[in-house]
Amino acid sequence: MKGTQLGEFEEVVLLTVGILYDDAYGLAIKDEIAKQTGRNVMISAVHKSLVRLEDKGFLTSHMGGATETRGGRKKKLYELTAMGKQALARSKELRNKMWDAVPKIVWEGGKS
Amino acid sequence: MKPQPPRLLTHFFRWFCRQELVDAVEGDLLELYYRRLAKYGRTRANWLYLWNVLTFFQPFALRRKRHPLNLLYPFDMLRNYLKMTYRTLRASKTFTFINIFGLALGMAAFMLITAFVTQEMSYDDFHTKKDRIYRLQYQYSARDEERVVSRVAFPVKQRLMENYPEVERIVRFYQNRIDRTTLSFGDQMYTEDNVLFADPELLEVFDFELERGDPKTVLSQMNSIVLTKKAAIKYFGDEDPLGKSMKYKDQDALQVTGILQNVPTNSHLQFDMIVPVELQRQRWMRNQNNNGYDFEKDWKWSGAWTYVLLKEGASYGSFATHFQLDGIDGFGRLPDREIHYQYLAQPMSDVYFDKDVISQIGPTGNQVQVYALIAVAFLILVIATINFINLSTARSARRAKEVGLRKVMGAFRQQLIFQFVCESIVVCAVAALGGVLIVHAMIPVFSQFIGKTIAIPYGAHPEIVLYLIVGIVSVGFLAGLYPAFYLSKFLPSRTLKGNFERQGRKHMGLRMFLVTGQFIISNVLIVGVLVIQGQLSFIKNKDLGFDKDQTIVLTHGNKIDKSFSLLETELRKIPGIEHVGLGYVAGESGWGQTFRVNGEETPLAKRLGLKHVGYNFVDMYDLEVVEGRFFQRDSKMDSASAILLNEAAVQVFGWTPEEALGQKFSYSGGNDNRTIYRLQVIGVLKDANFESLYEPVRPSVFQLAQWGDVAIKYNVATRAELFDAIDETQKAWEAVTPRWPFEFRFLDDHIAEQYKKDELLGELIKYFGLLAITIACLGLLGLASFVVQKRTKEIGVRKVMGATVRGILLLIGRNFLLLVVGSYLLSIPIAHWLAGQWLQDFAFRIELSWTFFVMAGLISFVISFVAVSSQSLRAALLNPVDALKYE
Repeated sequence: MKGTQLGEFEEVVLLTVGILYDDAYGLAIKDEIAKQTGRNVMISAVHKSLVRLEDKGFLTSHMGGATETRGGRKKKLYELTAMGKQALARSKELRNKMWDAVPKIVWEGGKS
Repeated sequence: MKPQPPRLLTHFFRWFCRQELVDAVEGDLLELYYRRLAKYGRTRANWLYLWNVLTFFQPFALRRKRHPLNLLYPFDMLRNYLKMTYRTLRASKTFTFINIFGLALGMAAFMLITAFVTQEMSYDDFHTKKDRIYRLQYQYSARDEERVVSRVAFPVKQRLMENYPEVERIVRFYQNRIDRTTLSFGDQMYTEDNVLFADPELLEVFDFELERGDPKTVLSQMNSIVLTKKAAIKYFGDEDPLGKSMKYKDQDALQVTGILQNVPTNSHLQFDMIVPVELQRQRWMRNQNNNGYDFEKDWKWSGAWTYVLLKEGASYGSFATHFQLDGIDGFGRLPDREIHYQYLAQPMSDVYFDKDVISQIGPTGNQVQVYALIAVAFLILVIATINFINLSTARSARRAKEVGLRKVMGAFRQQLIFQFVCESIVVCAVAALGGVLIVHAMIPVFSQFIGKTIAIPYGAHPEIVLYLIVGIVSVGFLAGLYPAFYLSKFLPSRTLKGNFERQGRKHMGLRMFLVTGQFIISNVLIVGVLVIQGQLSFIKNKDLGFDKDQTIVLTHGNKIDKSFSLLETELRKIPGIEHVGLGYVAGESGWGQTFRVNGEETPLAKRLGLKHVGYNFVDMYDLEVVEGRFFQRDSKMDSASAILLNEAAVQVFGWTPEEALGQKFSYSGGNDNRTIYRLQVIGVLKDANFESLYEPVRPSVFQLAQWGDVAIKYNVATRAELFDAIDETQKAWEAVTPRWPFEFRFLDDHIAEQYKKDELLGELIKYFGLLAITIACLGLLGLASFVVQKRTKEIGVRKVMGATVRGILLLIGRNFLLLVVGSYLLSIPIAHWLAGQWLQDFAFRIELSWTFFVMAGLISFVISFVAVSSQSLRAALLNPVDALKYE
């Protein structure tokens, strides 16, 4: 099975799709990432990531919500799939597990 | 309306972006654009928009191949296409045959012509220094004539070598055309008519391959001879010729110093053997009759074909200018107000095609002929290709259903296009194969026909096969493209409903247009064939004004000088011989001479022809004396000073024939050019065209001959008797002069030879023209049969309703008739212009009368009528029940 592992940027995109819930489309995702992380990413990079994530099965999409500001073009609205949610959860779990494995002493800054 | 981002960029984006993303991304980009528009203004927003569009130009966003399956197993589909091709071709055998046969004929014609043309174009290409070699010539212009002569005086070489630093080498050639040379080795003696005298630098300038001998020294000794392989085998067979001694004209011993490979066919310099030009000089200098004549000092006689090799990097322009200025006085010729000389240097690559130059060293090509053939070749190919396109699209009705079904079953348009193109390439390949076979069958015939060996050198140029393949693919591709796009466009919903007619009608226009083009071409070719045929037979049968039948000319007649009267007496005893003539022989171009008239050097005293003729000239050629009398035997005055003029010459001076009598002419001549000949006109001859029908009758002066060629006129009833009489002649000749072989030619053959080249062109165009017409007719036949097929049902209904056979024929034929008539009308001006151009070369030519055009019209009409009516008649005679039975 290809790519069950998430890249860092992919994780950010997935999470943003989750945050935006029912209005997750390209530009909104880009804006949200900027808001959440302060990173100004290219719109093409966002779309590229979305296409990949959809291919991997973490996202599904449907067309909808054309507005005046978009010149009447429909949005491609993304949604997390069960697999997407699992991947996020696994990623978080993995991180927590590793986080817990770090000895307390590292945080308290004993030695150095 | 809101401002929009640059439209071009949007279009570009839509072009490359994949369908699923277009709307979503475009929307995003627009939103961004408006945001930026408000924030930064239009310019910056536009630039950023460009940047954004460009960043999307990467794989994830690009259009996908729409049918990835194709990529996985391309060969399966290809196999399927080939199978389908095979089946469709088999399904309609007539169409396939017409298609392939037409195309094969066209391709064969194209290949043959290309082989011929390539060979013509490759003349003298094998000399590695060809870009630096120039032939010297001069142009002389008198009042109303201008001629270029390809020879210059012998001393020009020395002058150039001394004064022109840019000249590296000069080679002169000389050949005596009138006087046949004999060469012997032991007891073998042959007449050689292609011995060439050359300067020793020959092999340093030209790349004739020396097989044996030392290229530096082969010609350095005066008494040396270089043979070509062909000549070496003739004299020596298997023996080693090097160092052997041969006898030149029974007088000079020459040593064989080298063997050359045979001269390539595509060389304008053709020879069997080379002898140093110095030999000729020495022979003349020691001849007592010549007062020690030395051509190296003679500026007046332009006797040498001279080729200059310039040094590397030397400028042709400055050399040519220098040479021209140098020769402005004709290199010391007598100052002459009437004649101007201009010296020229002609690049080697132009030499072969320069057919208008006087006194050529070797064969010349006819550029017009080559171009005409190239044009014909392309036209044939075009006609064949048009046929192909027409027949393929014409069948669209039948294949529309197939296309519809394929589309319903999920075929993509690209696949369909590919299928059709594939089909057409296959047909082309088969046709090309057929074409190659035809070419190979035809090459010997063709070679014999044009008198040159034509070969397709696969061995030396394997790239020919590549060209062939490229040719097949590109012709197949071009021919298949239109039908492919046209057929693959059909909407399945319509075609399957049988509602195809309206779609098909639109394209009838294009087919008609193509067929019109075809017919224009064929019409022009028919007119061309008729005109060429007419002109050639006109020339052949034109009354030249003299009798040329049953006359032979002896090759060595001019060698016997003093024994002529002896020979004549002997010959007179032979019963079949009517006349024995001495001197000028019809068909030769003869001398030119500038005369003074009544002591004055008037502008009228142009270069008239001067012909030395025998006493029986008039009887022998059956000429008519218009005024005065002809020469009389044993008249001292006649042999010394009497002349006759021809009517053309009388006209030049504006006299009537009576006025011409008694006029006094004079000219200076003799070996030192100082003897003055004073002459008086005693008669006027009726015009006869002795020289060439390309030229009008040359104004000429006739003087009594003391020596010259010997012509014999026979008068016998049958061919057998003629040859018996010639045998007798041979015996007499051998008795009188055993030293010279008895060789002769027939006068009428000799005269006919002049027109051989045009005859060749005529024949070539005739055959290829007929071919083109055949192909065009095949196309028409196919088209007609298609139209009839399509309208079978309509015809059935009409018949049921009471239409007559005639009415139906008319119905079908009307369109085609219109087409044939239309293209005929269009072709007339083109054909008229082309034929007029060609005829201009002849001084005596046929009128371009309307009969040619009417004839051509009739021919194309009849042919197309047969093609169309054979098809429509079948339909018209069909029982309507059969036509209507099928639904």
